[in-house]
Amino acid sequence: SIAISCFEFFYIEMVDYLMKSCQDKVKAYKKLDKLGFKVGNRLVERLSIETPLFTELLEAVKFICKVFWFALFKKSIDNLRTNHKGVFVLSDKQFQWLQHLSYDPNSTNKDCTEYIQFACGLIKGAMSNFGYKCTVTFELLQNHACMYKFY
Amino acid sequence: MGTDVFNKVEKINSELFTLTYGALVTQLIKDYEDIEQVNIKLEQMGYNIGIRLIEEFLAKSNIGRCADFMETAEVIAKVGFKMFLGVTATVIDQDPDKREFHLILDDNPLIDFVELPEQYKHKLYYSNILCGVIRGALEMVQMKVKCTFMKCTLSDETSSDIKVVLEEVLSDMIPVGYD
Repeated sequence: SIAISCFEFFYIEMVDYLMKSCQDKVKAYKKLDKLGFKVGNRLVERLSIETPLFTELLEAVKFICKVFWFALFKKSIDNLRTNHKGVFVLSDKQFQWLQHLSYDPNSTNKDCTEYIQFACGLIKGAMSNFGYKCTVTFELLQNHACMYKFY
Repeated sequence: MGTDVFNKVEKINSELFTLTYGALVTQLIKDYEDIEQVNIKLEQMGYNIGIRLIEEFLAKSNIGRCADFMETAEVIAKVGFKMFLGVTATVIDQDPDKREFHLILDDNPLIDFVELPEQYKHKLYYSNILCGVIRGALEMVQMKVKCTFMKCTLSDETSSDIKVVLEEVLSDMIPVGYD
């Protein structure tokens, strides 16, 4: 393992570069998402080497919540909800990559999409490795909590 | 010493870092086409990281002012690398004037599972970000250095070798209000 600060400073630089390298935000988000996809896909491959194939979608999602999230953030997803029709809502009450962003409740500019888009890609990439294609969206709640929704 | 500090800091899965770094380098190559530009960009990113990382380093390591540049070299190799990347480096070839040294990295988490395609060997300095980090961090403690990758194991060379040259000691002005 390596120091968290090392990764976080690097992450800030990476996001900064990608945001500046594209003319519009939407394109940059797409790029971040794609990078996350690649990383998640490869990471989960190594994590699940000894896990038998999942027979159900729910099992794969549980793997993401527990094993995958734990490997990344040393904590599992706090809450998993599903409508049993293929929509899952994962919430992380203290999403690490938002912990050190200053949070001003009075500010009008609460957009930190760029710091989360990569994580959406990670989930997508991991799920795709299990053979499930999904769309991941997110919602920011107060106090650095983050909810991922996917279909 | 370095191990103690490393035990203190919060840690993260190094595979996430390695793979993310790899994905970024690939993206840079795609964006720039010219490999020399990629090297420069990586160094710049490292610089931005270094100028922030030094603060945490000073706070957590409790290391005071180094007596000379050679002590600085040892601190970087044994404490700095250990604290952030969990590995140590070896200092060799210090010159008699104490203005230059080489860091040999036997272990480098950035290059785990990395293989360079033939056309990038001896051109791309994959871990060039490290040079930037060292330059940035030292600049914050009044040392202006030049940092270059001399050898890289990814280009089939025997070891990873970073050369650090002290160019100038910046004047040490203490801002008003600080003791």
